[in-house]
Amino acid sequence: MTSLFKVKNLSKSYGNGVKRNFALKDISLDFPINVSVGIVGESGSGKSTLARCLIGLLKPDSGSIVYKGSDVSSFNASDYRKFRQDVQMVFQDPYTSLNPRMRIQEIVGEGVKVFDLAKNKDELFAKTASILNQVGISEEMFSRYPRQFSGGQRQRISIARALAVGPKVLICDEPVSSLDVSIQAQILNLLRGLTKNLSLSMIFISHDLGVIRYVSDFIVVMQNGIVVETGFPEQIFEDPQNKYTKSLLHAVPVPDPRIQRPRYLLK
Amino acid sequence: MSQLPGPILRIENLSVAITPKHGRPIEIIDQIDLSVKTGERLAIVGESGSGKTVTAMAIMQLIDGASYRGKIEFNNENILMKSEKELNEIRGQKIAMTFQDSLSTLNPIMRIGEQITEVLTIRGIKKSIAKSKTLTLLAELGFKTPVDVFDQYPHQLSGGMRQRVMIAIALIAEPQILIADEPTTALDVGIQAQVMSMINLLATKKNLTVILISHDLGVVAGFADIVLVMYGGKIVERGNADDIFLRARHPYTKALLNSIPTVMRDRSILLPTIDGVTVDPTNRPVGCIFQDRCPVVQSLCKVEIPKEISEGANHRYSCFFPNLEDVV
Repeated sequence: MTSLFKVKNLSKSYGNGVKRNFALKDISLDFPINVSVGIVGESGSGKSTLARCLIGLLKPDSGSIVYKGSDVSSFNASDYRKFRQDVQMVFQDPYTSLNPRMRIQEIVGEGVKVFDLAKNKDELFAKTASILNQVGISEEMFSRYPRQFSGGQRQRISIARALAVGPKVLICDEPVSSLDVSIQAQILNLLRGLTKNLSLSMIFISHDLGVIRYVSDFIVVMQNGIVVETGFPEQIFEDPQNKYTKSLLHAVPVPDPRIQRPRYLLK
Repeated sequence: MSQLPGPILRIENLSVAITPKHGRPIEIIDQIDLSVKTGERLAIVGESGSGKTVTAMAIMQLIDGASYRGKIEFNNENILMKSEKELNEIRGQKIAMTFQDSLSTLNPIMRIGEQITEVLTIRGIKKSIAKSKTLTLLAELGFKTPVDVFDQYPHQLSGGMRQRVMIAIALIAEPQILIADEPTTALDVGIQAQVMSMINLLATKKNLTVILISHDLGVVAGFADIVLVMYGGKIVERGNADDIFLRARHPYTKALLNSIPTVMRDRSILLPTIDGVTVDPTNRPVGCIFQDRCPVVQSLCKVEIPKEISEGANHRYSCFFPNLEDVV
């Protein structure tokens, strides 16, 4: 079976000289097709850098990324165009990732135009409308600007923008970390439903282990630029092998005073 | 520690309204009351816009152009009646607050030591005394090399360290009450546990009263004695931590707790959500504040405001149709 992404010996550093700092250190990973892979780790673990390398926003220092059997670095212009249509991203901050001067139907429709997915204006509108409806934005809101929406609604619009071009892969970088739990639950359910109904592959990055457990079929734990453990959710959560995974699991606050209270007692 | 008769802080029937330049006053806090005893840890939880930060800011009277009704009694004196000069004797000295974002709250071009000692020197305390007090407090807050940190700038510290510096600034004048607004929000879970344990330890040692504001119910569960749940500027449920987390009665509290994807949760069961958006303060509904999003709403909820019902010593909630299922 071909994998979605095959990452081999990937390294990426920022800065140079003595200040050179490796965000990814010789990472090798296999992302299967039609699976939601959760990448979890603390800040500085390299999870966002990995996502940005996968989508081509960052150029790795060394190593290879193979997308569906072909090396990304060997892509010509038209391969690359197809790749960018296939792989879409949802960013962390719904307040800065939408253009404040564009109406949301223009934001969502832009990709459709760029990739020539609509023959005329009517088709463009129909496509945009159907995607926005799928994420729960109703028609009377289409000509509004991003500032007129709440954080949760904006994240829905970001998801609609990503879906509008008919991608195969959705890369989500902390898409719910700025949302309230009630709204977070809505977005997580939406993503779970969409990936299932559209048979999308998803790469989901989060620092929140609870969120990761809920959305992932497979989990990658990162620390300081390396992958410390991979496994199915049951393995990672019921029987973690790595010391760091265990400490991370133990540090997650649990909304039950009986469990959480003893954890805030310093020896 | 002097044992005060009654609560150290008591809020009675407090409403806070802000008046925009053009338009009518908007009520952002609606008739809340609460009381905290010396040494108690109170947590205020709720979604964005529920009024938790506003409640804290109201205690400090730091909201620009706000009008207050009701009473805020600190050590049995109504501080709403105090002059700005008298308030400055309380703010930062007797009631101190740490704000949400440590990077933007600290002065980037001022050394850490100076930012902490300033609180004391401004009141005429000698620099050398202020410095030795600061070094002691930094050590208490878990800094291994307080002398080095004293001369550093905020950008040289990690998020967890900056948060502890903020706590140092708040605690250096030995206040009676610490208000901590989302002290661990941007921190990794490991650091978060460290900061919360530190606040816990210091609060016990100094018999400090703490008001914690947080949207993270896990953090609250580990820290608070008493929890207030706010929605739309009202307290909808209150009680001991066990009451709130194990015996939640208000549908809003229950829904908040249910919507957390905890690490123990079975992922095959769909996560319950709270539909709709939070109440618009310019357009409050008649009747129960939570009616538009409530899963068990009835026609009664749309005409009448539910009165607070007591269950046990501290547990109270405002709902006609409470959830009666407990967590086992």
